[in-house]
Amino acid sequence: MRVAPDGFRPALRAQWMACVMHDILGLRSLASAPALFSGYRSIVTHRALAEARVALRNLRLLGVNVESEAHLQEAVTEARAWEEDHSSADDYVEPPFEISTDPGTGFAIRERVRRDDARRAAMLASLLGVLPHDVQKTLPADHTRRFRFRVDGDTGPDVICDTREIATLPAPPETAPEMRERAPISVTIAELEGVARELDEEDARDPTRVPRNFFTRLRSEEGQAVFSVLSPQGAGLAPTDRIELDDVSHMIGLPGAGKSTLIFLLVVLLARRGRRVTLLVPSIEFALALDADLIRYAVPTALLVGQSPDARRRHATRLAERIATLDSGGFGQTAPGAELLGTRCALAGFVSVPPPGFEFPHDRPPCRSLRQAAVNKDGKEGKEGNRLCPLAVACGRQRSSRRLADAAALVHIGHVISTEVVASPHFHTERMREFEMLARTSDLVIIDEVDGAQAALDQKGFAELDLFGSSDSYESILLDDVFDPVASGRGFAVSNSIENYTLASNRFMRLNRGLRAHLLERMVEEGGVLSRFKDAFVTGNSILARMYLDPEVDEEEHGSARFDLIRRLFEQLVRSVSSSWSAPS
Amino acid sequence: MINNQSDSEEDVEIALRVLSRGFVDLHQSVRAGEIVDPYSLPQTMGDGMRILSRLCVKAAAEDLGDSVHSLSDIARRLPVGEWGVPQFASPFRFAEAKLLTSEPVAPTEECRALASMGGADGILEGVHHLQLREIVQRVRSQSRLQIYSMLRERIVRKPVYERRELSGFLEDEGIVLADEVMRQWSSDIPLGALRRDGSFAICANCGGLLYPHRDAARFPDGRCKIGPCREEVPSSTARQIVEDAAGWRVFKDDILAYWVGPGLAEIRLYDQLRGGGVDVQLYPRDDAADVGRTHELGIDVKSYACPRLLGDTLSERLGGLTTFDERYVAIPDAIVNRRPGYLEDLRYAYRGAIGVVFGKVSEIAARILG
Repeated sequence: MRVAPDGFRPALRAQWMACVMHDILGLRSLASAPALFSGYRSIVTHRALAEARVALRNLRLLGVNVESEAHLQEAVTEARAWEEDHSSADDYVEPPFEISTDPGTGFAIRERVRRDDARRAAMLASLLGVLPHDVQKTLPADHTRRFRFRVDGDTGPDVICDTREIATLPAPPETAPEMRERAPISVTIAELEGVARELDEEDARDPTRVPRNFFTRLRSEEGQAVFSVLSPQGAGLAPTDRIELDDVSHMIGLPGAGKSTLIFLLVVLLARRGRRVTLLVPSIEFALALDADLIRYAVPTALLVGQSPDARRRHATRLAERIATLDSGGFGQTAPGAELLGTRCALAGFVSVPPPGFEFPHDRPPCRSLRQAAVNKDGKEGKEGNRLCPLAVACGRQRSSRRLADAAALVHIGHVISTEVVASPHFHTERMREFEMLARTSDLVIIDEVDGAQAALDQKGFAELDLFGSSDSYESILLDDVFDPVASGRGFAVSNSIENYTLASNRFMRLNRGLRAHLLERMVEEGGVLSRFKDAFVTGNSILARMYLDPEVDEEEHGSARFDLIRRLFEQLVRSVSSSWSAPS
Repeated sequence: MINNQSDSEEDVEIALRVLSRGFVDLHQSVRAGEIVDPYSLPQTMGDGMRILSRLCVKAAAEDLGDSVHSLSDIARRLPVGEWGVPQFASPFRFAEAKLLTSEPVAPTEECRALASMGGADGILEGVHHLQLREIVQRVRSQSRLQIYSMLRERIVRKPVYERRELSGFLEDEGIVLADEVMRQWSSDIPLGALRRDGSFAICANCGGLLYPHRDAARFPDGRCKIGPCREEVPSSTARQIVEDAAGWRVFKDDILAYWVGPGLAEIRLYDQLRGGGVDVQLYPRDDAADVGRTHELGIDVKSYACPRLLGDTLSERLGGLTTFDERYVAIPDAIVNRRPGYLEDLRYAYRGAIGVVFGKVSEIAARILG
């Protein structure tokens, strides 16, 4: 989340793309923009794009997301519309490039000003520079004065909160500084054995613990080393007693070889040296178990877990189901992580004037959407503004975010997908996602079970649309939620909006069935439907184009009604899926 | 110490009462087959957690009202005064109250007393007690007044039983009617209690199940789950090893928590008095007291950790004990020995108009035996 350069407007994004294409890559059209701005590492790391890499990344950081021709056309048209709308304004200055809106030209670029024009040069300079991080501007509400929130965003009734009885609130945790230089990480086997001995001794001192016997995992009862470390020396490998972690990118081994033991001991050792480690694992359950293990040895940890209401509900419900299997339906029971997946908001205890029938939205608490007036110099209340909840420093529901922000938590453990979570605005001054925060503050990042992490990332990277053929498909949901209530005459199904929605759904069903029939028809053709995608750059658009257009005959008929109709349907679906999963998990 | 002036002792007490009510209601829903789901808690539990959060935040203490699981875990392990909530700590008069029993987990007597304080409703009247009394009402026998006592005693003495043996017992006593309800109140031997060879062990002290323990050196026979039993005999030894669990059953957790655990001290007292020649009965006159004789002598055994709360509860409601001429409230020796000044504080807190003698179980027994 970066601060946009001066003059950057989302509506004029095509101009900024043109600057990259024209001034850095020397291209005269935006035709290849969908591929270049797709963000695929295989493309942006290609050496032909070396000079454009920073600019491409910067634009993506600013939200320029052009992955299809339709996106590109939308960007170009929007830029042209903006120019027309603003051309009569007194302060209007023509943007530096003229971009054709004709797809037939590949959206050709023409220079309007010279390359050394101050605005054009500034545009290029900012694209090639480092964009500063966006700063968190919303402040916490003043807890010594009343504040309010609305039950349903901006439409519901006001709920007045009064926290004036709180004498003092704890200070927010001190956050970890950005690590500009990092000392090498070097560990000897003897040090690892020392930690293993310490952990075994700690276990022995507590009769309630099951001994984990770490030392015997490193050295057999006869005193023989279980591990041997070899280090590259010349053309071969030579024995050494030291593990140098710098530049190590992979650790592989057969199941049971001791990879996880080594990682665990390493994490404890480094944390006891005050180094910061991030440990990413394939599942939240694994993360919770690991967190409990490390806490048992007094390692200060923080759990990286999705903070959106849906993610929290999912994790907390799964944990509750697991706890319920322990005993007594979960009554009086807990499990590691329960304290980090709290579901009740402390602000509920300070609602002073609840509207009639009010129930506090614990599921979606107003942590970031409070309203409170500023105090003017004359002491009177001024304009009301958006505020953060002042109780975040004390509320149990924020414990996980608080611990994550705390510099004292040296080991961060989490599911790889959770790194996409935006760092809590309650405790950080910069707006940043956790993966970037971790990269800036960690000495070491370990991804355990990397294939599982990769699979999770892959799943995240694909927009998956289940159109038909399963009980979760769009078609099946429409039947259950729209057609069945209408057919059975259930109360709500008689309003005009439902009628319109039913008609729209009918159109969707027709297209959906057409698509299915078409796929089945093409499946039987020689080579199958997938043969068309061999050696091709595959996008949603290209799949549709290739399924519906005969390459010999139809290539020129991009504007055909059939294709356009289906493309619009498909892209709307992609957008709705994208927007639903782009919320932090 | 009450940190904030606005938190009067009364406010704090109300918070504890709402929370106790929440635990009782949550337990009811679990007994009805629900699981503890943080997204569908009983209203009272949610209210209790909300008030608790408020107390925590006001006192700059760790917020305990956000997670029902963490909260119920701490309520199971510690008396409220040790939760880290300054308003609940001493000198708050109920600081020693413990809301949940350790094992099997259920609301304690104190929790139920707090939950019902000030209210006249009967929801906390034991459901099991009512069911048992209903059976007794249906028995057309001369000895029906003894049947209630007989069944309660049987449950406390043999919480693990063989189905056929119990059926035989009920048939012999003419109360086959109780067979079905006994089956409903019990379950098969849980897998967790079985050893690798499929056998299981019965506790030598209370007759409950011994669960295999990971520290096999300290608990070679396994460990008893019934808290008051472990307090009496921490080492847990086996009275009997049953090779095959088929046909064996154990009473459910709430029966173990409400009747079997507290019943151990009652049975000891009963046995001691009978052994000394005093003709007493267990749970006489439909549970008017725990141990008693006609209208002459009634003894209630109370296992409250907090003497002030017990004093308050008895001041408000002495129950069936009022119907006896001589009234005793006996506290298990272990509880009194653990907490200095327990009996003095209990006597001080009791403000009832009806005279009651308070003492340790052993003292009361000695006094009656003369």
